[in-house]
Amino acid sequence: MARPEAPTTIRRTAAPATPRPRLVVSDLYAVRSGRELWRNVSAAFDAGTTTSIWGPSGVGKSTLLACLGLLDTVTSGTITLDGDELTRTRGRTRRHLHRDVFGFLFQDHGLVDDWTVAKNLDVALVARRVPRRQRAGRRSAALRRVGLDGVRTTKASRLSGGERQRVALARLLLHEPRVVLADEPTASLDDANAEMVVDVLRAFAEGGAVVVVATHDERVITASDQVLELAGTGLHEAR
Amino acid sequence: MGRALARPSSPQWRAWRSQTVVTLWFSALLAAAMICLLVWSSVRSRARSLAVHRAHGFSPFRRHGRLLAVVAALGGTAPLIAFFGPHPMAVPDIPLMRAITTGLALAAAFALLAWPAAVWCERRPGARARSAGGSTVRHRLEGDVHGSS
Repeated sequence: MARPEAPTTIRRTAAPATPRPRLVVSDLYAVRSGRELWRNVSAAFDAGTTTSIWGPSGVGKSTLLACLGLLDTVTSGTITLDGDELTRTRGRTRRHLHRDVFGFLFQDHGLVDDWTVAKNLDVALVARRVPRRQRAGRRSAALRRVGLDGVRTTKASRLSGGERQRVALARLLLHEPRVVLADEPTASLDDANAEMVVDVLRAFAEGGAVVVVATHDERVITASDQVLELAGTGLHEAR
Repeated sequence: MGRALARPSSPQWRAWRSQTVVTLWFSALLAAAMICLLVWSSVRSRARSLAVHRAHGFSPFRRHGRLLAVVAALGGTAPLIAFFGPHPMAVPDIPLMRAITTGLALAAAFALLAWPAAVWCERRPGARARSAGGSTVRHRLEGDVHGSS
């Protein structure tokens, strides 16, 4: 299988004067179905920056993101957030992390097809314990932010790919996570929608969140502060 | 006690049983088919719902739904009370109560089948990595780049 060429245009914006590592992974190692996915994965993801993880298909970018967000488990290694080790968290602590710290933007949008847009958005609001009377206003504001209006009662299955991704973005805005993990967020989106996704991710970073994106998309990579290439032997700086 | 209780050996019990046994068998077969169909159709949606809720930090109880838990509890206990309680024939002899009992039992059977199936779907390694599961139907409308998947 031919390896895609590394992106040629990588723009790096000025990093904070004293970068404070927020999410740090050390020597992560993952085996799936008896096959080694990657090993020696070590990196630090700073607050206020956007990091793109780039690599050939099948190398395990999605699995790495799922592991970073504690939706999947690593075979060995440690993940720390502000010095707290997360790898062995379970139960209530892990639920707290998913509720208040980690936010996901899935490649397949992560919407429940049978639910309306409002109900899909409510998941984030209910998780954050937003009172019922405030939900409608917040939902509308988030939908306006992503350029979607009048779809509140539409079922997710009736939306186009671009609209579904925008609903997922709106849900992420309502979730207000400190760590954003986005898996191919612009896959199959046109330029306008991709630009909106990039803008929202940048806004999260500017708001002080850690943003990690697994992507092949040069539009995302050029907007990132840090670009890492994932290979079987680990994460490497991609120029 | 005002009325005689029907015991499993009494003529009243045997009459009721002979009248209903064939109906019950057919009903059971139909119900089983219906439950399998419902479970099959709901597993995908429920698995995705579970995965989305898990990614947002919901507890297992809230992920699985309080209402379904209540239905399962009622559905599990109602038949037991009806058939093995202090007045075994009293409940089945009232058509409405029999219907409610059967309905609750079916709901419980559905819940008890659907939940493990959905949890199994959610827990599959692939489903966990992709988390919320993917739609098999792609809608190529506005926002999609035509020609890409």
